[in-house]
Amino acid sequence: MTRLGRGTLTVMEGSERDRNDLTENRPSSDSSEVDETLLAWTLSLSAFERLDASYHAGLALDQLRALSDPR
Amino acid sequence: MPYPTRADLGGLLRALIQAKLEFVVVGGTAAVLHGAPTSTYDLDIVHRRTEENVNRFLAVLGALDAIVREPTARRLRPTKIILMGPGQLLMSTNLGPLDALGTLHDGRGFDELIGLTVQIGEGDASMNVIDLDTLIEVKLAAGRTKDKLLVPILLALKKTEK
Repeated sequence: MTRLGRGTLTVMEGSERDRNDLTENRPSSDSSEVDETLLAWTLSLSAFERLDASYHAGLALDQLRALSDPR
Repeated sequence: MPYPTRADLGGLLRALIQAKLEFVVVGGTAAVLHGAPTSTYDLDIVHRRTEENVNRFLAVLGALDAIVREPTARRLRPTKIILMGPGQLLMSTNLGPLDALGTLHDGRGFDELIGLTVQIGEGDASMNVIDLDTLIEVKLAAGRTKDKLLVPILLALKKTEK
């Protein structure tokens, strides 16, 4: 789970990425940079595992956004 | 109880597959199925617009308690006449947002896209997913920032196919 959470946070979710830079241990990157280790990991999953990983990563992003919301 | 704002992609797709709906997965979920490590809020599909298929679609939408996603929140139900048309119907369901596209922005519907798909999944749980080349083409044409950001990942996935 740790790997899923940490790894998936390195990808962007649309324009939200620009104001929610949740990248860990990485310098500021341009959009052409692709995390090949993460890519290899998702490719090792089955189709429904990929869907579930994406869903749970999205939920984690939502929680982090809520925590960082100043309101 | 409010509808989830993020789609349970696996749950929604399992429901559509079990209903024997004919559809093509497009959008961000197609990218995820190809292996892109990204997340998306909704499930976008292009459904086949035959009467039989739309009836199947309406049945599963009923089971998912689907309503039209619109600002006034009037809890309008999806209808056959809308699903038979070429437009795009944005819905909330008890498994999250589901967008039913009669056609893509470029006018291509199920019949035009089905030859541009790959089967992903196993056995009874497999589905038609728009192929990487077409997905890249669609994302580039859309021109939105979030689509452009996905393209390098899709191109990297394309390299792994070789």
